[in-house]
Amino acid sequence: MDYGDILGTMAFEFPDFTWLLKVPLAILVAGIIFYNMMMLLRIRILADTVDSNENVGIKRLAYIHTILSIVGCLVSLVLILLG
Amino acid sequence: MIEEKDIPKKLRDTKKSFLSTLSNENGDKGLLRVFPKDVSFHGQDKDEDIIVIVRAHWITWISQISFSLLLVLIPFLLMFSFTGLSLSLTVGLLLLGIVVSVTNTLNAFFKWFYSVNIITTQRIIDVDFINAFQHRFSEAQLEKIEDISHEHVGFLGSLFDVGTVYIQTAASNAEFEFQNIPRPRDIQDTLNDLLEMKQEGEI
Repeated sequence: MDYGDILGTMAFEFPDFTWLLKVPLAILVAGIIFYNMMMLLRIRILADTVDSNENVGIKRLAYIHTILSIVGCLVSLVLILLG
Repeated sequence: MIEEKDIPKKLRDTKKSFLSTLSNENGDKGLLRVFPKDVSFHGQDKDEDIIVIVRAHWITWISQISFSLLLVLIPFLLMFSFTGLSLSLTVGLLLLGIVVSVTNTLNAFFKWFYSVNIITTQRIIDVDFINAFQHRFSEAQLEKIEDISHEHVGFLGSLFDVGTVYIQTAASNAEFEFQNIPRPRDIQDTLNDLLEMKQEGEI
């Protein structure tokens, strides 16, 4: 029996481990969204604590960033789960 | 020099040196603001004037910005490590990397902006934005201050005139730190002059 022939025809299929990558990424996405929302709340408190003209722009920046990061996180989560 | 109209009335007649050393006309604008008109804080009394509002120097950002750039690179490293990744997974990872990087950069900016040190005619205030879950607002009356010192550390500290001012108060273990601020000796001089004025009953 020629074992060399058998080895030559055997197909090794490695299991797909990409789901292992997806679970921590999904947790990371949830963490980023939660952190950004907490950051927005903290900025609202601090803007009242130390009031200045620049606060309007900073708060606007924080709101825009929070919205964009939520959208970005959700889109990336969908893409990661589909991938 | 500060224009006389910007100086509060109660400080105009003083001959203390801090009025000549403090200035808004240098590269520290935004980091160190003298007699700001558009700033107030929670609990400010009607007869209380803000003398200086100071933030950490921008060089303290360098490590955070470098870390953000590294975060953008992580998805690329993953792409090259796992060659069999699908297109949607690759795009998702890139998008997530950008979101994390921008979040980290803005986080550093917000922390810098809201971590302020304020010196008024009545007290010192130290606001520390620690993270999204925690901030600290410390204040001490000027008459409680016992000892003031400052230190410059390292090459960057000497290059950019950045240092930390330590303020020891009468309360046990209460030490204020104005960390990595520009022109720390001017801040120390200002505090010393204000203490003298407070003891002499001028303010």
